[in-house]
Amino acid sequence: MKINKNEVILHGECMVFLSKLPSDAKKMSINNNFVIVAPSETTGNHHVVDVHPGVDFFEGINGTLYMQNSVDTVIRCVIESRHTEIVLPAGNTYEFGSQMEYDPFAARLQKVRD
Amino acid sequence: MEKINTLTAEQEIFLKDFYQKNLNVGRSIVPIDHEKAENVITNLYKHIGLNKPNFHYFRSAFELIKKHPEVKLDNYFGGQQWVYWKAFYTFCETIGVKYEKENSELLSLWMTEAENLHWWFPYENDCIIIERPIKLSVNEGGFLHCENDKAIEYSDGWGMYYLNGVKVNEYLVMTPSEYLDINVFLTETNADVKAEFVRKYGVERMAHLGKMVDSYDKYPKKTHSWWHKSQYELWDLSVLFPGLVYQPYVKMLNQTTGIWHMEAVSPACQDLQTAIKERFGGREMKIINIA
Repeated sequence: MKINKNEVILHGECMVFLSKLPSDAKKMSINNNFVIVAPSETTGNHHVVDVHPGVDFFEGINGTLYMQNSVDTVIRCVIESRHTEIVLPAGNTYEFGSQMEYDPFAARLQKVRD
Repeated sequence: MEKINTLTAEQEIFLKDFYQKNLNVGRSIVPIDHEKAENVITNLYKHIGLNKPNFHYFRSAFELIKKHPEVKLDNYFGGQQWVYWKAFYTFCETIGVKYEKENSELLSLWMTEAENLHWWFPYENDCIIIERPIKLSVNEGGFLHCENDKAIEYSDGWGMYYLNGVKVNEYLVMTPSEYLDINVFLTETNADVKAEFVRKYGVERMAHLGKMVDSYDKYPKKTHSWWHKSQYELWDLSVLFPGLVYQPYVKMLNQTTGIWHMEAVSPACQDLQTAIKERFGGREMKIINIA
């Protein structure tokens, strides 16, 4: 699967799309073999991306996560029952975001939570 | 030591039995044998140079907190619930991986711990042991699930409600579908809990409280293939909100679980195009994969 500009992969509420690495983004030091790209506040079933040699993560000043990968990796859930894994092809700079939903009572948009 | 890359046919069969045996350990609701439990903990204490502690039993963690709110619960062992790592290393040893003698004996001790304990909280001179649950119910996928009772319950009555692995409140489980109050869905903030509400309430029943505004089938399948797969629809559910003249919701099918989601978008969204764009934070993007 190839991904182009203005295309998006949806993994639950998590959005993955091509981006440019901001000059002020800082490379993250990763101690695990995965990075949580969309945390689950209540169930612990986080959306994570597997980290191998060739997969680097960066954090923008507003907390946005970016990834550059010279090898394929996957986005998956800790517990795979809710969402199957999707391959993120090598050779790209990805940005991770959250889909939005509207709260009719507060009349405001907020990130989808799970 | 040479790396093991494949299993023999016999080892494959053994693995299945070993997996099932340890899954049963993890899910066991057989009451704890206090003598065996105390023996294994005493041996673990001895291993780090401590004497046998005084043992205190509670029917659940809730009972412990209620009776001793001063006890810090952040330092504990999971017993049977942490059998996974002990089983992993034990299986490797079984098929030929060699450990140092001391490590092998310690691993054996931890396996015994998993087989004989639930949660336990070690202190220097005391050890708190929580009895096993008296009920544990899972769905076909192995996730905590019970449609008419707590999915996990301890002998003091404390427990938790789950639907398909999602922790929910008593109301969603115990209220018959026909009596579910739609306002509970409207005020719920967790997407997984909302999806379980929709599953129980019935998506068609829910959508048809309002009226359809837009549908995936009005868009070309060639350019909107994932809209078709997800069966995106926009429904006006303003009937549920006194004072609102228009309150759209996107109805969509989860591509992994096959369950339906209904999520609100702002009244500025008059069609699916604007609704999806809003969900993407104002970005105009084409979906190329969903899970």
